[in-house]
Amino acid sequence: MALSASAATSSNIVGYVKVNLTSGFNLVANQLDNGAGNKVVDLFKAPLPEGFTVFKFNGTSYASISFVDNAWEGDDLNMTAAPGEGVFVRNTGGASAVTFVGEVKTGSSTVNLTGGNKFNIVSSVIPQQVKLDDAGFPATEGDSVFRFTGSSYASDSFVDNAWEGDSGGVAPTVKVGEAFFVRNAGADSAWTRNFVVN
Amino acid sequence: MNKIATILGISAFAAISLQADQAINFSNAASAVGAGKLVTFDSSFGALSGQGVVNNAVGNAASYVAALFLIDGANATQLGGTQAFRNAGTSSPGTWVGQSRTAVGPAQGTTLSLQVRAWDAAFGSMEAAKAADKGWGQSAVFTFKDALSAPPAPGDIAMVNFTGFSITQVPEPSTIALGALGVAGLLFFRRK
Repeated sequence: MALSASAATSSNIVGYVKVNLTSGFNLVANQLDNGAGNKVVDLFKAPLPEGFTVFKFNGTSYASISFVDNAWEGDDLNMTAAPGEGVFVRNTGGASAVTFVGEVKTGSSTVNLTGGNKFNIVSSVIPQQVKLDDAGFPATEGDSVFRFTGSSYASDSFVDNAWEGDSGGVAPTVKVGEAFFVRNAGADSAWTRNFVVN
Repeated sequence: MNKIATILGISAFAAISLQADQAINFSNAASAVGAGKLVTFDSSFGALSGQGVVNNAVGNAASYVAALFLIDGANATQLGGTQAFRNAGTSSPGTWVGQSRTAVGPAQGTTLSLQVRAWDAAFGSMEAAKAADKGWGQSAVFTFKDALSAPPAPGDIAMVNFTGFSITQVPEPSTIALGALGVAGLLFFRRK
């Protein structure tokens, strides 16, 4: 067998994202691919407070799994929190943090947005604080974005081809580790991002 | 194979604190409260009657604003500033530019009485517009309560009990005169 000495290079970004959790509900996103399916039971590791619960929205209702008696139980132990998705976390303990470890998705990544005025919980595939229109978010007339504030929502809508609402007339900015609701007033669409490491 | 690995350390600090106040999505857009809960011109606006309020409508150069009020008996407290209605040509006539409001004090889950008032933006208040015979109107008082779903849902803070309303004005003398001429004309032809 002959080995080539030419430079074969692959590029990736691995790292971690630490997301603070307040006591109560948090709408969070794991934006790093852990390489093992991004199962919630793997991402949120013990020790966790009794009753710690993760809710995943399916478009009409939530599936949930809870950490009870030192083990996960509930609707779907294969529940995922992959880059582009989002989950509600009910932290039954005090303020804490979860650290997601993995690889930033490179190349083209797509987040599906169900239309017909349906709600979607999504996140940026890339772990960055970004204004949605700088991230190629496909806003259509009548769309609304809701960002959870810990007790309520800040909302912005896309009307007459411009953003309006709590962000003061500009596209909302989402933070690292933050998931958010999108109410897609148009047809089913896709939020595609193309991330390349130079 | 060379592998370039860049380690990122990113902390996301969500400085969030629970509040006793109630947030309200001050919007009458269909996406917030359902279709048809609009603010419309009444018959005093002539040809615009029944149409959704917009700024700079054909034949009516005025602009309009809406504000949210917390009603407590005879007291009405404005929550935040005013929001402009949209300009003529909008895809959503009869709606104002939505933005959240906060009722400071009432805990989440308590029922509030709210009212939306709208008026000619050239005036500082609905009462001032009314006194000047310019466009004004107000909704019926409606109840609002953060639904406190678990997990929280965006619709929890929508003004679902808001119903639309009309704004009215005292027509300009020229408008009255034109109306009178029309009535006189009708009577004339009926007599013939």
